[in-house]
Amino acid sequence: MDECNFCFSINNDVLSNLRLNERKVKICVAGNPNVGKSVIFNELTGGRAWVGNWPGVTVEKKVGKLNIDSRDIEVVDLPGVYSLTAYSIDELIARNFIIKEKPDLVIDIINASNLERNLYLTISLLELGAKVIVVLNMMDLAENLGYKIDHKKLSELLGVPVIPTIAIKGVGINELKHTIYSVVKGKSEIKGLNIYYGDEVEKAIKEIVNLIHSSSELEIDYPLRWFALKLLENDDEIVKEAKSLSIGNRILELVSDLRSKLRSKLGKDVEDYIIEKRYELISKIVSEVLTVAKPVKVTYTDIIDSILLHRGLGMPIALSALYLMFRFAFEVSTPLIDIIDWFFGDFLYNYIYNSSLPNLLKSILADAIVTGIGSILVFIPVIAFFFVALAILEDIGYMARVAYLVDKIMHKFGLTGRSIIPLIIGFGCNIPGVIATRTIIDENDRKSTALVAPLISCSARLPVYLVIAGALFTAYQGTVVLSLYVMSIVTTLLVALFMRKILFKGISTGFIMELPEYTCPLLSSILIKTWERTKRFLFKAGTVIFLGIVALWILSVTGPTGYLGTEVFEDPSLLENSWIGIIGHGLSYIFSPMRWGWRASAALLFGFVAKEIVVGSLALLFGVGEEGLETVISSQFTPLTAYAYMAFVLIYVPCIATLAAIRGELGLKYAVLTVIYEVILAYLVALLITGFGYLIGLR
Amino acid sequence: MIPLPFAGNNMIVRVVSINGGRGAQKKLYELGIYPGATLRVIKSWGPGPVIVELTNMNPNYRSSRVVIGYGLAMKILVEIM
Repeated sequence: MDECNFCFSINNDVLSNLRLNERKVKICVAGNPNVGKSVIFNELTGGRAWVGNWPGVTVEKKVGKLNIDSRDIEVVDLPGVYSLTAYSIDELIARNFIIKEKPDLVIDIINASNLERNLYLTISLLELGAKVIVVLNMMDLAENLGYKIDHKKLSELLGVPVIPTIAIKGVGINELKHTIYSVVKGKSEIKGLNIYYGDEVEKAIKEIVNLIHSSSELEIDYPLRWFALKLLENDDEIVKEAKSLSIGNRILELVSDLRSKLRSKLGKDVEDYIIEKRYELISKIVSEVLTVAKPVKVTYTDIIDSILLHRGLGMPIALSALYLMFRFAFEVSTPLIDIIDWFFGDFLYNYIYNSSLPNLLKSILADAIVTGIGSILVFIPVIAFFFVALAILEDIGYMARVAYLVDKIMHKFGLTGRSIIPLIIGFGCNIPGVIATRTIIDENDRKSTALVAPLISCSARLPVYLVIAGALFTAYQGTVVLSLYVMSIVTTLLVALFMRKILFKGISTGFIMELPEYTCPLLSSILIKTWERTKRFLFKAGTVIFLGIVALWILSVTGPTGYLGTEVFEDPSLLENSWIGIIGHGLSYIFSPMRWGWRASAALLFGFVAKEIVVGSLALLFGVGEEGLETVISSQFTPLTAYAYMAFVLIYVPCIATLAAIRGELGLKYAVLTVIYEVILAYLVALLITGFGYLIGLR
Repeated sequence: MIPLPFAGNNMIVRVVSINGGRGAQKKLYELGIYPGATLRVIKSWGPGPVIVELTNMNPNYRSSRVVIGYGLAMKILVEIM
């Protein structure tokens, strides 16, 4: 094995291999969260990116193209991480990408207003043997704080190019592109940096490396020095990797021997010592490159935080902000929803029925396909505007504050402030909510949050409440709907507590989160974020819900006697003979204490596919249009049975698309568990409401 | 030596030891909170999360702020400087 594994200078043979014309060049963008990474990724790739999954995990991988000198360079967006330990999926992905895929360049973006913490990742990248260009972003923020950064000196000390930028204003992007070009072309060299960990640790590293060297048939992907260092640091993944080697036992024996020797010599665990050494080096670097011209005592962030994080005012302000977010989403989207509803529900539907197509084809097109697409698209405006509002709050930096404010309350229910963001996303749509649980570090917290996320009343459940509450609680419609939202929050928290106490026991890693500076949100970033979340609904819900609706159509037009004909949709009494009718009758026995009748029970089956379809299928099953629905509902339900029905709709089974998301995040076992616990819980709550109503004399 | 939440607002403290689980410890380290680091306590009220600012180089430097949940903060022992 080549000695160059020990050092960072890239020799000329390697560089010549990087020539653009010889093979495809791949670079990646890395950095801490909140450093403007996605802005720079978009600047480099022109905002065009395609999305895939990282091998073996469901975390999304974004890839774009940078065009320099009429050649395409592949740009991969690595997850935002603070370091390269193996403690979270994101860190492991970033690390494995650099080790296994060997990108030609790593663009490391650091926040100039927070050099020390950000340089930790830079050092980790350099240690891993990556060829790094450092982007010193947010220079304006640093200037506001009175910082002067000598970027030339920084470049000298790190041994890599350093480009100062203000990405949101486009400042420095051209220089960055130039630098990428000249490095990739082999015109400028990157030296890199070697950390010296003191004689004892260096000797231990050497010993491990020598042992691995002695066994020549070994195939290790990693730089050997780094591999040895990680073994000393007791890195889980690397220890696992070492175990699988033929001389694995000998290596691990040596490592554990060295670790205990070092502990007594250093007076502390070697992993702590190594981290301290890194910070020592960083402090030295920072003190050489950073001068503070005029220290700023009070920043904008201080002033805003003194209000938004105020002991008494903080929570009321947060509640108002979140309430406004909902109002904004629902109010702004109403006209768009009406247009979509009209287009699919009236125009296209009637157009097909008035055409000269055969009846069966008409029904497939109108009742299954058009209705299916319409029922999905009608939710796009409200979900999209909800996510626009949320992205604005996030990009300003406010959602991190919300997490801080609710941490104490969430703690009482076994979770931490971290869980609040996925849950709030869930009010828009449960699918991106479930996916957002990835940001939760603690495994138990993450699983619990993902499993209770479907109890959050998503925007698809609202139309069910509106129609039923409108029919039976005219004067109190608003209060009834609000009570269901309160019920949603209360059940979410209580079930979370149950999960954390029974299913996922164990002490939480705890709540650790960075509070970013307040910044002005950037339109493009908000739009991209909104699109990424809405897209999850559109594609996942689009395919799964659409297929579900088609399946229900088939179950409606067929029965034990065979094909019933599309007349079932005009004459609901015929529906009784269809599979749906039979299942509905079966369900109505189960729901007999709640007295919902077979049609309302069958509608719940439709709701399994997607909650919003409950309304349409009630109309279908009663053989009325959505206009006549209120009259039918007020004759078929009492306020008590209707309230129990709405509670059941709130709690039972998220739509199949959400189940698919849970399966993707946690596995099939947990998706099945979600179905089981939610159906049981919904049944019990509905039964409880009915029973309580009887007790106080309601019928 | 006192647990971090016991330090008053605006106090500058030095981290002496962190007794959390390994995962939490690593997370704190990489955010710049490690034995020997100096922090300024921004907000700490009663049994709630604590906000600290990293002030390793010079108390005049403004730097990143980190929220630490109460339970974890109790495991961080500090000395007031």
